[in-house]
Parts: sequence; C-alpha cells; structure tokens
Amino acid sequence: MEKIYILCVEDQREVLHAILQDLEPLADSFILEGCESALEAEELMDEVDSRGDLIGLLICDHVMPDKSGVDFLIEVNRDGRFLHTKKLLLTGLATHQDTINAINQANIDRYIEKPWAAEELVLRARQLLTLFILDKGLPYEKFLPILDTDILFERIRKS
Amino acid sequence: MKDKELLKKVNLDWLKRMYFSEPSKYIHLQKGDILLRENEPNDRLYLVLDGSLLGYLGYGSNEVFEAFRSSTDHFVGVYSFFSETHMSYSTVIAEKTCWLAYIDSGHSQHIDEEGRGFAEHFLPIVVDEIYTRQLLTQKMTIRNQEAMRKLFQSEKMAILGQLAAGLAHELNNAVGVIQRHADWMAGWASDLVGRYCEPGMQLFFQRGLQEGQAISSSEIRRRRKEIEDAFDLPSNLARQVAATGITNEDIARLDGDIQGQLEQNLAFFEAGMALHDMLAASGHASRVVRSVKELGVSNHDILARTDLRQTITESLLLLKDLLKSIQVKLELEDQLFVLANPGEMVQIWVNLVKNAGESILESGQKNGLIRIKSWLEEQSVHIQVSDNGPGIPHELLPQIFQPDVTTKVEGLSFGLGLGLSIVQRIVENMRGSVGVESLPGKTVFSITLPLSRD
Amino acid sequence: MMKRLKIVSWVKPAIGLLIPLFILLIPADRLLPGMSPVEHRVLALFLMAALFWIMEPIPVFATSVLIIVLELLIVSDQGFLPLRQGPGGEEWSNLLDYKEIMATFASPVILLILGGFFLAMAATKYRLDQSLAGILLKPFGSRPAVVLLGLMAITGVFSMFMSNTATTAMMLAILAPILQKLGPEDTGRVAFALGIPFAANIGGLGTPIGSPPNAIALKYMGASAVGFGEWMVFALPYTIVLLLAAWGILNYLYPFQAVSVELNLKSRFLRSTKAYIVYGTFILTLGLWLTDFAHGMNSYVVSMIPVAIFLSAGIINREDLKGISWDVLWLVAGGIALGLALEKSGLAERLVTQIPFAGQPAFLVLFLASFAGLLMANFMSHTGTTNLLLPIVAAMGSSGLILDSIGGTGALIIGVTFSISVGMALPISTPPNALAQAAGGIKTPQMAKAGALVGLTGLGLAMLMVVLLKAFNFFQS
Repeated sequence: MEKIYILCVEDQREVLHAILQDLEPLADSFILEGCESALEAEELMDEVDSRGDLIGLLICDHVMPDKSGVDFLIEVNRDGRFLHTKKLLLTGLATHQDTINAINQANIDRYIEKPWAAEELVLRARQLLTLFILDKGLPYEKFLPILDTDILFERIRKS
Repeated sequence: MKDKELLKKVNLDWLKRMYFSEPSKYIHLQKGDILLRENEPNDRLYLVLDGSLLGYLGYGSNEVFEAFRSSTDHFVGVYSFFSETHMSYSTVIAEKTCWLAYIDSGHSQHIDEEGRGFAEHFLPIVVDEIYTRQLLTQKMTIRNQEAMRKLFQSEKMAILGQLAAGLAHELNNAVGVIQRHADWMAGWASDLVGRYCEPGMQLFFQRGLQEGQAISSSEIRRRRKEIEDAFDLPSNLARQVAATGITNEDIARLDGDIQGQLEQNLAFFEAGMALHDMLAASGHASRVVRSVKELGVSNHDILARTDLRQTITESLLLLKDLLKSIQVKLELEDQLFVLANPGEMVQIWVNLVKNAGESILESGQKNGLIRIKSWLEEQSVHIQVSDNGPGIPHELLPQIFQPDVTTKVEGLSFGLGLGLSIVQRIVENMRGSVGVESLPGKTVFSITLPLSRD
Repeated sequence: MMKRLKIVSWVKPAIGLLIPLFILLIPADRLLPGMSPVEHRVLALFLMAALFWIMEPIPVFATSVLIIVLELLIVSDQGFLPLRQGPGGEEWSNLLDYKEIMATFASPVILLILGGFFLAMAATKYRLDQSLAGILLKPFGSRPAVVLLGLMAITGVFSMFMSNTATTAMMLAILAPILQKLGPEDTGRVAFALGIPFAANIGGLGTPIGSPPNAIALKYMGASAVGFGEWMVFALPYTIVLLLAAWGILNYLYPFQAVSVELNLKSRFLRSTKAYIVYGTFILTLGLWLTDFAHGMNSYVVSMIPVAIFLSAGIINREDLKGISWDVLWLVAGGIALGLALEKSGLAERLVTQIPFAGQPAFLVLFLASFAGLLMANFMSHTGTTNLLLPIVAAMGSSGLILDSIGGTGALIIGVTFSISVGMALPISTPPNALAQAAGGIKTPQMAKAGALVGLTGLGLAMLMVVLLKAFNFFQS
C-alpha cells in the first residue's frame, strides 16, 4: 500500500517545527515531512514519487531564499506527477501579485495567513487530504477517522 | 510667431521714437528708489529703457507679495495709466539703477503710416503686460504648492519617526519583562528538571533548551531512517526523535520500553525548546526595538564614539525580511569608530541597504548580492555599499540626493524619495562625504567619515 | 451559420431513419427474392447503422447501443410479440437468441480489448510508457530525420499495446518542445507532427489488441482463427515495412531544414512494489500471448490475467475503473451484434449470393473490398467501417466464392482489415490524426497528400502480404 505524505516547506527551522508539531494529529495516517527550501522539497518529492508513494498535501511558505514558495508551487502545478497533490500556501508576506500568481498559475487550494491557528491548519489539511484521497480513487476506509466527513459524504452521494 | 515679434519690435521702436524720446521726460532711479506707491495716484506710463524694477503688493505691511518684475522694454504703470481710477495697485521699487521714459495724460497723439492711432498701438502692450503678470502669479502658486508638499512630506516623516520611537519605547519595557522572565523561567525549569527528573528527560530538556531546533530538515530525514531501522520505531516518532538531535547511543541508554520513554521524553524536548525559542525571540525583539528606537532619535547633539560595525548589524536586523532572498556580504575592518549619533548611522545604512535591496527585488533578479565593504585611511573611514541590481538611470544620477527623487515605481514604503537626502544631510553634518556611481549590475554608494581615534 | 447548423442537425438523423423505413415499406420479395421478414428488418437495420456510422448524427457508440436494443426489440426471440409471429401465428425460424445479442457486450473480443485497456492504463499510471520512451529514444541521436524515425518507431511499438489515441497524445506531448524549436518555415515540422499519428495508426495493426478492428477481424476469421503470436508473424513485418515507407514519404514530402534537434527526456523507472507488479504483469501477459500454442490458453483467456492482477493489487482502483473507455467497448459490441444479426438471419449469405461474385477472380474481389474499406475508413471511424464490412466479407467465404486462390476467408478478412486501418488521409479519419492537426498546426491538404500516399502504399502492401501468405500456405496450416 502506498504511503501518503504531507510535506511542509518553510525556511525558518522553528516555524517548520511548529507546523509539524501542529499537524501531529495527522501523523498516524500520513507521513509528515519537512523541508527547509524548495530545492530540498523538489528532491524529496522526486524520491517519494519514484518509490511509488504519494504527496497528498504540500504546505508551503512564500518568502524563502533561492526559490519563492509561489514559484515552487507553480512548478509543482505543471508537473504531471503531482496532478492531484493539494497545495496550501501558508505565509504572512505575499504581495498582491504573488497572491494572484498563486491562484492563477499555481492553482493553490488554500491560503492561510501567518500567524496561523493550529485547529484551522489541521482542519484545512484534513479537508484537502480528503479531497486528495477521493480524487486519487484510493480506498478511504482506513482513513475514515481523520477524513472530513462532510466532504466525504458529499462526494459519495454524488458519485 | 516671428512675424509677430518683428511687428512688435518695429512698433516698439516706433513708439519709443514717437512717444518716449523727449529727454525732459526721462527719469533716473537708484537701487531702492520707489517709483510708485500702492493706492496712490499715477497718470504716467513708464517705459523701462534700462535696469529692472519690482512690483509689490502690501509693501510696508507684514505680508508682502511680489506681483511683477519689469525690465528693459517693459512698461510700468500700465494699470493706473489706462484705468479710470489712475491709482497704482502696487508699490514699484527699482531693483537696480534704472533709466525710464514716460508719457503722461497730456501726451500728443501720433498716427503711423498704416493709419493706426494711439489705442491701436498700445492695446498689444497692455494685453502683453497683463498676460506676463498672470503668468508670474501662476508660477508663484505652483512653487508655493510644491513647497507645501515637501513640508508635508518631511512632516510626515518626522511624525513617523516619532511614532516609531514612541512605539519602540513602549515595547522596550514589555519586551524587557518577557526577556527577563523567560530567562528566569529557563533557569528555574532547568534546575527543577535536573533535580527531579530521570536522566533521559534531562537530556531531552537540555537539548531543547540549549540547541533549539538545530537539526536541518535533510539531516532529520537521514536520522529518521537510521532511528527507524535501529530501534524499530514508528516512522512519525522516529522523525520527532531525529529532530531532537539525540544520538543512537543516547537512545540505547534508555532501558525498558524505549518507545514509551521516547514518547514521554519528547515533551521535555518540546518544553526546553519552547524556552529556547522564547529566549531567542525576546532577544530578537528587544534588538529590533532598540534599533527602531535609535532610528527615531535625530538629535544631533548626542554624539558618541560609535562602532560602525554595530550600527550596520543593527540596520541589517531591521531589514531582515527584505533581505531574505538577497545575499549580504560584509567585509568590515575591526576598528570602525566615528564620532556620531548611532541612530543616524543606522538610518544611513538602512536607507542605503534598503534602496539596494528594493531595486534588486523589483527587477526580479534571482542572485541578488549586497556588499558592504570598509577600509581605513589616516583620518577617515570609507564604507562602500554596493549592489548588483539594475542600477540607477543615468539621467537621475545627478539629482539622486535631492528630496523627492525616487527610482521606485510604486509603493508605500517608509522614506519614499527622502532616504538619500537624509543620508546626505547626516553625512555632511558629520563633515563627511557621500558619492554614487551606477551602472546596470553595479551600483556603489561610497561614504567617507572622519575617523575617531581615542 | 446557426441556420445551417440547424438544418444539418435534423437532416442527418432524418436521412438515417427515412431510408431504412422506406426499405421496410418495399415488400421483401421485391428487394431480394425469398427474403424473410426478419432478414428484411435486419437489412433496414444494417442500412440505418451504415448511415448513422457514416454521418454520425449521434455518437458512434450510441449507434451501436441503438443497434443492439433495436435487435432485441424487432428480431430477437424475446422481442415484441407481433413482430415475432408470421401470419399464421407461428414464430419465425430465423429469430435471434436474445441472450446471444446481449452477450455481445461481453464477447471475447470485448474482453480482449478490455485486457488491453488494463495493460495500457497501468502502464500510463506507473509511467512505464514515459520511462520507456525516454530510454528508447536515446539511441536515435539528434539528426532530425533519425529522431523522426525513432519517434515513429516508439509510437508504433506503444500503439501495439495502448490505444492509438493515447499513444499519440503522449508522444505529441514529448514532441511539443521540438516543434517549438523548429523554425516556422521548416517543413520538418509537418513531418514530425504527421509522423506520430501515422505511426500510431500503423502500429495499431501490430497486435490483436493494438486497435479494435484487429480484434473484430480475429472474431470473424472464425475457423481459420489465428493466435496472438500468429497475428504478429505477418502483422509485425507489415507494420515495420509500412512504417519505414511512411517515414520515407514524410522525409521526401517535408524535408528538414534544421540540422539537429534536442530531446531532453527525464526517464526514471518507478521502483515501488506496485510498479514492479506492473512491469512483471506486462511481461507475463505478453509472453503468454505469444506462446499460446504451447500452453493452450488463447489470447482472450490470457487477456483476463492482467485484469485480475491489477484489480487485486490495487493498481487499478475504483477511480481508474471509471476511466475505462466504455464507448470503444460498446462501439465494438454493436458491430458484433450487427454481424450476428446479418449472419444468423441468413441475410449476409443471401446478399452475397445475390451479387455475382462467382465469376470474378478472387483477387479482384479482395482488391475491390479492400479499396472500398480504405475509402470508407478515410471518412468514418475505423471500427465502424470494420463493423459494417467484415460481416459481409466473412459471408463471402461461405457463399461458394472460390477464395482458395488468395488463401480463403481469413486472407480476405486480413486484407480488408489492414486496408481499413491505413485510412488516414484526413483529420476526421482517426482520432490521432485529429489530435496531430490540433497540436501541430498542420493544414488538411498537407495531411491529405501524405496520408493518401501512405494509405495507398499500405493497401498495396496488404495485397502483397496476402499473396505472400498464400505462397507460404499460412492459412491452410
């Protein structure tokens, strides 16, 4: 059975740690990973993908050295391998133009402003992962306890 | 236009000859002599043959307003001569030595070869005079508005500075309290854990407190696999343990239920790290607050022997977010002391570095680099702030230190257009000098300050 | 514009329905002596199917389902009662078994194609296709003509196992960066853009699962049935020769100006357990298909193995199942049902005996039927053409026509099927052609010139192949 990863990209170590800490409730069902730069994330995603595992959710900061979060998400969006990967932009410092790019070119699924509330972050992550599992057609039964039931029932009713 | 001028010239010459050539009606004025007084009768029309005169409104009162200036071949007294009242509306004073000729109400009429009479000759002159004065008034109004705007700008800056300083002062106390208590708390907790807790917990707590999140994400990933393999732990727990930086030997030393113990000890790492981060964050906050406070102080009287290196570090701290994706290289000497106001020095660096950083960011350049270099001479310190941004447009370079000159296209940034003028004012107050050279890809601001030896 | 569209939209179905109805109104005896009412209805149905498949007033797969349902209603033994009975109340003897009609939905041919779908889906999902394309393209270097050959060869190989359309879409995506780099004046653009769909169409002939017409042909070959491997014995050489010919034609018509082209493909094989299962199943299935003579499991049976493995291993999941091209499966099912009706009602035989084939040389019959197939296939779906032509062609074999001189019914079916599959002169001829025109900015005359040449070459080669097969006595053994 392939594993589903939640990948957080944030250049500040303390903040990265805090995000991972907040996502701890999801750690039983998914694999949490953190990266300190977009380049590191690219490598990891490459590796995860070639092992046949899946990147379910990508949580990404915007202002980072080397490559900005939005640029990174735009590339991921164009990558056929991560077609269903959900993208969440978590930032306090995105200009108007960055935000426009994030929506139009990176197709982000959710924008959360820093500082974030842990409950909000976990809730959004659960919703996006529910969508990911359904979009991918993965068996959702074993994820039931942490999935967002509203979204799940809505989808099952429609199909 | 040319024809018209020609016509006018011919007319003027003709007029001069016909009306203003009687030597008995010539007047000579010394500089400062008053020709006409406001609201006093005048029935003469003067032609300035040489020199110039100034017309004032409200002369002698508190609010004097310059109404017009007349020089050679211009007329004075147009209004009073042609109007019904025959009263002068302004006071006219010679600006330098003048020769004037005049006609009065008893002048004789002349008719030119085209059959034009007095009125026809003088109508263009009257219109011309009115127009010239109108223009002058408009120019004055514009200049006035400009001055008001600048005043408003610097007022705004001053208010912002005061606001920032006030805010910083308030926060300084709050941050200080947090910092002291965090410090105390860390010591107390450390003591407590050391006295009452198992060695494993102590180890985790101390690691958190001392190091914080010191392990990089790639290192965590590597260690996660090692720990997973070595101790057969769940992947998620392994990641958390890897993040603490605990070695395999340390883990092996835990006896009994390793997984249970690790889960328990992780909370101690978190607690230690929370204290570590609180200390670091409050320290950072108080440094920022101090820098802002100094930025707000612009009292030139407080001069002190100032370490430039420290002011540069402080200004970089203030610009931390801006410089996130730009590399800053410092090549600074050890003994960079000048007699200065530290706050003003911070202002200089903030302005220069911010300009450099913003120009790099706006150009969308990826490998931005700002270099701050220093060298010492016998009597002076040289600091160069250079960047590899797009450069300053050539035509802007000569006026770059004037207020209100900006290369920034948009933005509500603090100090818009005033930054470099501030830099220049401060540097010149200190008897230093500032210069700029700019090419696309390399812009260098050089500052020279007198060295302070003790 | 709107007005014209409106007229067209009701004229097509009207023609498609009125002509068959008109045929139904003419007494059966006046049309063909001795024709029963059931045959009469089948004839009308056949005409309707032909008109609908050619003009497409409704989607081709809808036509197929319509055929099946109409058959169940008017010519099956469980149809509308008054239509089942003659004037004396007795049931017509040549009514069709309703179970047989329904079974066309799951006939072996359909399941063979389904097996092919599963293989293709798994290959795409685990990026076997892209990884292979990257590796296989490397040896072809950077000379444009050679790169074109490489692209065509790989497209050909892939389309033997994947749908021609999917292969074309994938290869066009690989090609896109090359097309961008070539100058707008370079005629080589046209060669590249045409090479892919042509190779996909040609490669589709390579195996029984390569494209639906092949599977249909297998079904109609009946007695002289060939296995998966046997099919490849003659189809593979044919494919290779025609691919080379097409490459030559494209090079000649649209020479390259560019000296070299760069292809940068990341090819990394996935290394997960599931990916290995996909690779293994691919090899296993292909091996079993090629060795059916040794183990006795025919290609239909083998085609169910990947279905079972992929579903059990979770490689094809619920969401993927929804993505199966049911339209293609049902299009084929309708054709099989039509053929069934033609055969079981006895109409096919009656029609064939009515046309004086007997006196004609068998080769002329083969040529005419093949040429008709090629012509039709340029204007309508290949599967549709095959659905219409093969029942009649198959009936010729049993009509007393002496086909021995060309190798029997099997040879006739193969010749016609191959000729149908090389119909690719127009954007509407095949979905790959349409895709390439959209992606490559090719003008229809450019495609028509090259496509017609390749088509005629393919027809000629098909004739030659039949002659050679006869020379080796392939269908007699």
